[in-house]
Amino acid sequence: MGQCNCRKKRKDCQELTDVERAIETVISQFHCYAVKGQKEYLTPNEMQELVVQKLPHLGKCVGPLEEKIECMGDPNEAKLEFGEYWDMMGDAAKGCRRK
Amino acid sequence: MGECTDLEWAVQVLVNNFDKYSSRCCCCKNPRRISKKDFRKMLSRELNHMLTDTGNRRAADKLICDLDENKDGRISFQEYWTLIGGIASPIAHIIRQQEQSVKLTK
Repeated sequence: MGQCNCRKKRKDCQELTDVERAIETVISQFHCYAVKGQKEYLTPNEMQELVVQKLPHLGKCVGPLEEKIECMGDPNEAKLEFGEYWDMMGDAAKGCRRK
Repeated sequence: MGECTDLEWAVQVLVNNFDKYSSRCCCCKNPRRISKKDFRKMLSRELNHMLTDTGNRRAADKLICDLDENKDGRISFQEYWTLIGGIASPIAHIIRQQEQSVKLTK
């Protein structure tokens, strides 16, 4: 985990604006951690790893992880899809703005 | 923020982008919002490469269309985030499909 091609950039990257690169980064991090769901969803464990490893400063803005995981239901079945992951990043972003 | 990760950098860029195009309406106590006009400007300046693809362009047009239904006329941070998510989501899907088809052809 984390050893996959997270930092791999697409070759047209140089031309992209910061905003576009930022969006690509958010997507690539999701794909990077969504191993079990083949880039379609994160399991609760994968979500936790992502938040701990990739959001060391903003993780607390996302809220208590245990609660989130519990809300996802059965840990063996639970899936966090891209849209929900994006909303989670939105919470982190709101944390950024408060600073 | 000290040493931030790629992901934290990305979130910060998207936050800064909102602040760049948003303004306060009349009273300084109101939260910042982006006008529709500035939102279009933002899309063409900051997302011009991502939206060159016709499929993506259509998605963006639909997003703006949906905005027009909102009588409020100004875009809050939450709405902005949802809209960018609406652009990111199909792109995430396309990247995934492309990678899968690469695997299949190998």
